[in-house]
Amino acid sequence: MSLLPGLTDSNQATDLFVDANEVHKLVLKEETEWKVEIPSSSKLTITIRSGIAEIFGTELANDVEYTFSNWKISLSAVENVILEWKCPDIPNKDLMIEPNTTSKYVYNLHFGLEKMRNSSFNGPRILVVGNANSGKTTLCRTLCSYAIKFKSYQPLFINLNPHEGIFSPPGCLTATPISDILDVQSQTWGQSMTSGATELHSKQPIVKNFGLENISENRSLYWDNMNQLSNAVNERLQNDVIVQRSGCILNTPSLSDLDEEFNELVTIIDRFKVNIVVVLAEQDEFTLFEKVKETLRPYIGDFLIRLPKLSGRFEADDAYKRSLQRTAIKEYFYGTPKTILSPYASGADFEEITVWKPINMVEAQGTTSTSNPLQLLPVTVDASTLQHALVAISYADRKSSSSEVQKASILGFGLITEVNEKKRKIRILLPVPGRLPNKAMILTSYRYLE
Amino acid sequence: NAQTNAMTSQKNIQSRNWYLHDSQWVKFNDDEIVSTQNTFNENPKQTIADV
Ligand SMILES: Nc1ncnc2c1ncn2[C@@H]1O[C@H](COP(=O)(O)OP(=O)(O)OP(=O)(O)O)[C@@H](O)[C@H]1O
Ligand SMILES: [Mg+2]
Repeated sequence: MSLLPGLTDSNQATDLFVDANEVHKLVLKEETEWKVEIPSSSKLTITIRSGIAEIFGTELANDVEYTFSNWKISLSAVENVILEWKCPDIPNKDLMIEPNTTSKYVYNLHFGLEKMRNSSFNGPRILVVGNANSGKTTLCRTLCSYAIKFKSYQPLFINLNPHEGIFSPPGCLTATPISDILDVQSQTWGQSMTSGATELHSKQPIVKNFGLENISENRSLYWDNMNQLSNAVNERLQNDVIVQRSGCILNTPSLSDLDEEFNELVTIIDRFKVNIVVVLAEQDEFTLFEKVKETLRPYIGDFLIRLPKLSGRFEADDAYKRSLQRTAIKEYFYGTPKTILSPYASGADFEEITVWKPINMVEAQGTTSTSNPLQLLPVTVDASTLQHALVAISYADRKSSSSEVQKASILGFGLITEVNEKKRKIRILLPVPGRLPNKAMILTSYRYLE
Repeated sequence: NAQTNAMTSQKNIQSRNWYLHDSQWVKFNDDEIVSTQNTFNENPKQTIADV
């Protein structure tokens, strides 16, 4: 081992060398959790040596090395756990290990849902609401994981929060039967269908593309996508006995993204036939909880539960949420380190593509295009509009009218990597090998650069 | 031989499938994709996107 140039103290050099690759042992007592923030461009590996450890409800197998990056996670010890971890950028001191004060509420809720599943052909349909960072997504992920742990249920996970990409890129409303284990290493919960055999199970979601960054930019469009999704969900439930029996788990955007009178929650309850609502709120948010209760009581009666905000949660800032969105786009095209996907680069002439975009009602204020908020606007193909853009590829033919495109199903997504205005050609990254399908495309607000 | 060696050392290159059309998804059954179901089935049903 040679000293680094400039270092004269050999002890100092030893410390540097040892820390980078040192495997640390950690003992977690039952009912505690280790909250860890993994710095971006760093990797944390964890191997459980004994005991039961969970992340978002999914158990980690013993003696398997798991890798996490660019994430804030909390590892929960269900029983006493002995683990080994390694991360060059996390010092082995002042680790955030705290009692898990909310796990009992989550278990009780899960067992309540199990009882409902066991006693009816119509499984529970549970809506999770709360303010930003209250733990809604975490609760949903945990309930999904618990539902499939011991029995072969297939709860339908419905994501109504377009800010989060779950089994899809961001900007989507989705419904996915959770028919097998979730990928604990994936921020998007796992992969949607891929070719070939995968180590981990892939899911088959239905994906509606909202495409704008904020619901407030076009509420009518958000509701139209929601309606299309609920129609498909209700038809699937009629056709699929196992999913119907397992019920639905619905994730929502932060309450601040929805209207103050909670009318939108009422519409969701009606469309998706929700029969339980869980509000994640602290004791001192009593007025919030009371207001939700009063508004929703006529629709769900007393099936409204308050849970405290989950103890493992972090305050996630906008920069962190944007990095999660970025990862969701990356995972769609490139997969994860365990399931590497090879996207396909294709070329097309400007004349061969048709691109639409939804109206951003906030930007369009005062102009004539606000008359029909669901109308799609044609997009001029040039570098300023399309470079690095995530586009949704429709099932609708390229020559279809904008209203046909607006109602059509989504094939998938493409990423426009290059727009050559001189040659009038684009290069687009596709998830499936072959030519760019002769279909209409819809521009989203999302951009991705390597 | 060299070609066989190259093939056996090739990673399992995969790509994503297109999403199913709504009309296919509503009729889909996840038993098709849960591995234990197809262990003894010579010709497992495979629904792919109806592009
Ligand atoms: N029990 C937990 N274990 C690990 N991480 C957690 C836990 N609960 C919350 N987190 C983390 O805390 C943050 C906020 O939690 P979460 O995303 O579930 O809140 P949310 O209510 O869904 O937020 P939003 O309204 O933005 O969707 C996230 O970064 C999440 O990874
Ligand atoms: Mg959330």
